[in-house]
Amino acid sequence: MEITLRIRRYNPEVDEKPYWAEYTLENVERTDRVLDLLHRVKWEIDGTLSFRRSCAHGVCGSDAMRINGMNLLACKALVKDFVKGAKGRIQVEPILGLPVIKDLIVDMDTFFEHYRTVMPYFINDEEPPERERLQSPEERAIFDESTKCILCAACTTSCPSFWANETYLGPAAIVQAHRFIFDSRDQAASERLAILSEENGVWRCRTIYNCTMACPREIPITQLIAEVKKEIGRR
Amino acid sequence: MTGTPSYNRFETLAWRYMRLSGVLIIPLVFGHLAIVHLINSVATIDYQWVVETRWAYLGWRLYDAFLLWFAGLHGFNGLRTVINDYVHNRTANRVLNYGAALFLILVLALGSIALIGTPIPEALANLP
Repeated sequence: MEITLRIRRYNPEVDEKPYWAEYTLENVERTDRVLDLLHRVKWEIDGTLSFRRSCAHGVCGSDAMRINGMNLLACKALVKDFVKGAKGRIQVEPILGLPVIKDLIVDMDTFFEHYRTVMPYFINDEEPPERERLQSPEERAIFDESTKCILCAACTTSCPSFWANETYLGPAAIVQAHRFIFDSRDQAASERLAILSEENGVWRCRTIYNCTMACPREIPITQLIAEVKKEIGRR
Repeated sequence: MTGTPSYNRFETLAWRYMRLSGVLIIPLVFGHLAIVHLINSVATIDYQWVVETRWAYLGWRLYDAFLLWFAGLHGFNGLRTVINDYVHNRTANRVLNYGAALFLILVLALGSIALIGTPIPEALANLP
């Protein structure tokens, strides 16, 4: 099949402003990934096209981009999801809300700054037991969903609250906080909840559900944020 | 970790208030709409009607007071979050927030003065 790839391109050293470039690719398989198409453009047509990708199998979270208006991982988005016939168009642009560095690459500094704010690491000052800190399967199940996050930023950059105000910590940081707040072995839940109780914490979430729709790991993000809101209310 | 973490109680309270008042406002607003737009016509509603037919009864004064306060504060808090979302300049943010708060106080004060201060017509006050 024939696919026209419409890509939002921008090179700050050359271009005054971003523009749309179109590339027509032939012999595209229905099961090709959008990432394969981007590779073909870069390797066969225009080597200056820039985008991030690493594992290419939906695990590293490098290639989140806005494909046909939805935040997706280019390595998990298949051509057949967008084009039914023998010919079609697919539009690719950088994720929104973060400054574009070049083409599909955005500056993730703000995103990771918010990530660090919630102390996304295990905190327990007690002497560890001889073998391991035990946890029941039930205790583990409480935060099972939040362990699945790959920090691709698809959720945070799909959030209108984050678009409007980048000081909002955003869904990804809250999911990461959730992972430790509800971990029975961790001792810093109160500190994290205090950080999230601030104006830029969970309260900027307006339950829009864009994050839940965008998550390539199918984490019920809005629900996890609600659990954090409830926990703050309980304290 | 040391020390007691301090929670932002105001934002937590504001969030809870929005949920609670939102639920309460639904029957209040639809009731109000039904009374002044469906059962009666806005064309026939005047000062006389409000004072003599409605506010002659304490229950309706309370109904209107609840609507005034719950909807007023709900609307103001919504406006506050919108301002905080979109107005990033500190000075402009403050000016708008204080302006909205002043407006709220004015509306609540005027409404409350009317609700409390309007005398009950004597003839109607004696009705069962």
